[in-house]
Amino acid sequence: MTGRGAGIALAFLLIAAAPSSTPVLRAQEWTHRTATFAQDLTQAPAECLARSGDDIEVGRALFRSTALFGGPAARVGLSCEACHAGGRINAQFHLAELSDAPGTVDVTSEWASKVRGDGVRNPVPIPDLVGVRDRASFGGKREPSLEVFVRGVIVEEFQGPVPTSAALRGLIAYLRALDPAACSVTPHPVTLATAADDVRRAVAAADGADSATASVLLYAAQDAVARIVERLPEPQFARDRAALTLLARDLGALRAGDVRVNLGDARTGWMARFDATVRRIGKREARTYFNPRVLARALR
Amino acid sequence: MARFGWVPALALTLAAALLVSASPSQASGGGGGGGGGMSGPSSSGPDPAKAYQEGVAALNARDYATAASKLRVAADAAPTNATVNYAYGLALVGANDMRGARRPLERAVRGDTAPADARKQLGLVYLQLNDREKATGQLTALATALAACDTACGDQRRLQLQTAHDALKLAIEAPAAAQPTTGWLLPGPAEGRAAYAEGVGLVNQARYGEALVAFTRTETAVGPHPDVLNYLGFTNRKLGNYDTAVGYYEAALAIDPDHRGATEYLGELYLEIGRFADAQRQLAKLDTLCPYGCAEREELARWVAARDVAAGR
Repeated sequence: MTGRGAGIALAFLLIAAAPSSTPVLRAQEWTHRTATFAQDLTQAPAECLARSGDDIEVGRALFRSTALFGGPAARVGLSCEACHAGGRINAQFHLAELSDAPGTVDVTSEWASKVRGDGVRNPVPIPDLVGVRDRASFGGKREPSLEVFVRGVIVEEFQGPVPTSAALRGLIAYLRALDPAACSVTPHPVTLATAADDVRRAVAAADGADSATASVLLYAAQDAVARIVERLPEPQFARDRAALTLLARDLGALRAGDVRVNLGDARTGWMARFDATVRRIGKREARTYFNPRVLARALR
Repeated sequence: MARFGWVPALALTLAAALLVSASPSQASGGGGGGGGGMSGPSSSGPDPAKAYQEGVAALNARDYATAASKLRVAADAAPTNATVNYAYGLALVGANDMRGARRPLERAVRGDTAPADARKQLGLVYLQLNDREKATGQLTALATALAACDTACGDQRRLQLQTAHDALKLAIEAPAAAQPTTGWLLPGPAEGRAAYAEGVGLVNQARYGEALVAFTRTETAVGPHPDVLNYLGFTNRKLGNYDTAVGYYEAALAIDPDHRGATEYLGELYLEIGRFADAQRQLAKLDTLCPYGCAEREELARWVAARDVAAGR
């Protein structure tokens, strides 16, 4: 290689290896970029949840969390919710590794799965999960049981650990509670209140669960805290980000040992601190990335 | 009251404790009520036991203003009661009144019966009030209590003290707020990302030789990126080239010392070659790197747990 050639090659390497700008929100990674990008990242289809109950709450928290998956999908931050926003269809879902058009996903991809890869790039439209309780078969393999299907998605399609029986029961209960009669056509805004509600509901679900399931639910709650933190711009919200990070670490610490005992001792104090932090942030919510106009500026 | 973890065990005795500890002078300081001893509160004054129960119910319902108002009545009637002061302090924390929470929490930790969490909460309040020295004092007190927690003290209490100690220590050390976005997808030229995805797919099919070729191609496209170096280490490890693998992991960590993937995979390698303590250290590092949890931490934790089971630990 000539000296000039080596110089060009080195320059190329340095440019290529330079860190790209960090995404503002992790959902950016799998959201199709259009003129309404910021709006798409600050709203979701309204959840068609017809009932409530302990199992449903367990399933709801896990549905929204990366905790169920393993492999590349978990490392990117995918969850059931990423494709099935609000249990419905994320029409803007687009991940280069899995999609060929917005709203599609290759469920037999080598990239995500160790056992389901079929060697063909064949993304399919993401299905709506509302009304799934009335279906006779599920997925491309026409599984006769929703339990078998969901377990297969977690363990085979996305390399997740085998879910506890309570976790699987919760997911099934959540999916069966998605009712067309409870749907609204109006998208629902993603706000500080809805994001904080996700955290509280995950912690509350952990409170009544067996120790192994509670541990996964606290991981889901940690993950839900992250979904608030990423919407707080630096440096204006540095103090609040630090407070939430500490709260997330506290949840992680509770996962060691007997989770139920740990949580029983610490839950009220944790919740008081979390609520105080959220209230403080709420006074300036208009300046956060929950506000599509502020987010749009950051995404430019 | 069921959600207030430590309360159920004390609930039956608490009302009596309140009545016993509410001397006439204390009770009158709490808002004009007379009465004391075991005869119950004066009909003209507030009932501290009732106020306590209502306060705890409001605390569990996250109505912090009501909780603070009710629990203040109880705390005024029983100013030395650790349980009541702890609950009152939590209500004020929830109401974002850190200055107000300090006093009841200071009272809560005076006796031996204080919930372990009370010292942690007090330490966190001190930190919020920028009094690091006093926060450290609570950490020292927790360490002392932990050291003194013998058989009679019990495993559960020891675990509570340990959890409180560790959480407060973490808060005092205050690691920087971590970036919640994963940034796992390889940035850079599309060609590099495609080759990287192909390599990941080949890894998933255990076709490590071909994966090595794909990651080498990725490296040509994007340069010495830590994600690529990490996967070059991974594929070499799977091919049994441990020394080469360690070299790649170390190269990835030299560029990004906090690289989660390299931290995880190096831990897995340590387990494979019997360096268990080093693997545990990698797991502890991931705990620090992942305040919101992360797949890398979960995966290595499963490896360590499987190793513990295999070793009969």
